[in-house]
Amino acid sequence: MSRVFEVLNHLVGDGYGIVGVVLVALMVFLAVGAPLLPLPDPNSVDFPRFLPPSPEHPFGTDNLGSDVMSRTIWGARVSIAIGLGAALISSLLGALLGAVAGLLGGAVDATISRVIEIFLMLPTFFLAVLMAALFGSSMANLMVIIGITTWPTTARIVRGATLSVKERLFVEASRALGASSLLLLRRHILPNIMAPTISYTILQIGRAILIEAGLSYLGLGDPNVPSWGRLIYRGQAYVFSAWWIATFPGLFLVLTVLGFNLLGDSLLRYINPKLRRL
Amino acid sequence: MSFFAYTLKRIAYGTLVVVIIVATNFVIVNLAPGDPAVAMGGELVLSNPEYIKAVRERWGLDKPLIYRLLHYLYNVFLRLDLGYSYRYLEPVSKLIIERLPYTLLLTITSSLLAFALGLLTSVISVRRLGKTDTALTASSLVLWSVPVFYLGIMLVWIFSVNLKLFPAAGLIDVRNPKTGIYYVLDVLHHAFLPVTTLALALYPAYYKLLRDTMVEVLSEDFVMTFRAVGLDEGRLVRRHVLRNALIPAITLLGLQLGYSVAGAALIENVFGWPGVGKLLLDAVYVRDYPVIMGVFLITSITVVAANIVVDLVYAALDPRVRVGR
Repeated sequence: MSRVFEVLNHLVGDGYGIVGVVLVALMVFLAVGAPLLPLPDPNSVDFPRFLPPSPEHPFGTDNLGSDVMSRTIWGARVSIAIGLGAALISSLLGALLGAVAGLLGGAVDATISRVIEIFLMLPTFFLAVLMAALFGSSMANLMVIIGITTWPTTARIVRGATLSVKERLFVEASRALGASSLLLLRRHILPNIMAPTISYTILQIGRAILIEAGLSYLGLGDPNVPSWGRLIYRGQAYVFSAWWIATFPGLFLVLTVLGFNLLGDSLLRYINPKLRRL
Repeated sequence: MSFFAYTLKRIAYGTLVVVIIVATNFVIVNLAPGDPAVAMGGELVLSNPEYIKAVRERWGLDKPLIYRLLHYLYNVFLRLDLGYSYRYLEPVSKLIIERLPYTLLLTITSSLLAFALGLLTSVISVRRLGKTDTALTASSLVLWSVPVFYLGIMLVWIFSVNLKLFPAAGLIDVRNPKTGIYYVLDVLHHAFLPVTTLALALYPAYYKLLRDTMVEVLSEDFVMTFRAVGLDEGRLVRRHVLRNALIPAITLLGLQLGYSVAGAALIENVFGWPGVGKLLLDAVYVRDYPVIMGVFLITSITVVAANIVVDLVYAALDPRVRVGR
């Protein structure tokens, strides 16, 4: 518990960190609370079409006669859910493979490292486009696709962290006393690589939200749910006549990604005080 | 290891990587739901029995997957045949080569611009830490979080819709076609917004890398020595600090250029720019698989090649790298 307090204290003291916390908290609040907020039905098409922003419709209405503010806030649910899901898949996969490679070393490490290296050279976004086009793009599919195209970043970092923990004396001592690899992993390695893994997972959420937005913008998002990328995709056609349709969802998207990036960066500065000078 | 041996080793490894990527790509496409014959030959297959036979024979579609994979690799690497687009009914390689100059105009120009802008602003940041630095850092953090296509749409809204300074889309003014030098000027006029968008999207990475490295170098002992002997601060940053920070930034530029073949797909889509990225996206919509795989292959080759070049430059500059692996 005191650790949590310490982290919060750092975030408040770190200028960018607190902005990140506020932005993320606000967006998560909107995403979770959307059904409770006094908003018109996001799928209702009963309003006049193309109304500019006004007190009744602060973000205007779109080409189908839906309220843009309502759709934008409901969009937070989809974008953040996909971001979270994808980042979790990506981090679990990355942390697992990274830890195994770092811990076992030898041929296993060499194989995993090569796979990571090759993956990092792949044009990730195109791989995601290709897979979304071929296998369909339901929300679950999108999470898996983004997860398995972004795991190597985390894997490389966790592998590095594992290697450096493994060299430390207390781990060496534990091994000398006959501890098995599994015990070492559970007792010493995992607790020590948790912090960087969590920080990079948070950065990964921002990245996943951007990738999902890119896919949705290309028409490869889940057609049944309004993510921010889909809203921008729809709004682009009307940028000449109704700027508000694309502008507001995009603004929320930017603020959310910014929030996760600031929070993640700030956590990295907490773990590694050397970065604080920068 | 000699530099020559190191070069050979990297190239051999790079070739292996490209083969693995192509094979993975092939398996992904073939695992996808639907008949691979339709995927390879497209809709024509359904209507034209002559064509289906030719396509099946050419790509060995009646054979098991492993045989087809080898056949595909043979076609791609030994016959340099990427197949035919069913939508355009033209060789995939021809389609890509036609569009390449337009894409490279966008990607190379914007990468260089982003690099130059990053260089300039990071030096300003380091020279006057404090408010200017905070403002530049904050704005680069925001830009880093903006999806490139949204940035493009917003620039269109500002510069095309409201200020009417630049065209919103296309390569040339189709209602008023021009020739000679005026054609070039027209293309440049149309390229302005996509190039600006892409440069702004690429810029934060250069700024952050250069600034952070320079701040780190500034805390090193030799800097203190230079300051102690009274070296002019501007000269110190330009001659000694920046020089140390340039190597990672040039690496980034090299890797970035590796993505220049299709790296502008989203931007080309926003601005209706007839480049390789747009070709790929259009192919995705109509499931033009030979084109998708072809663009993916070319992109992979350039990315891997850029990686090798960057590695080799490193090895040439720093002999320790050669021993490392």
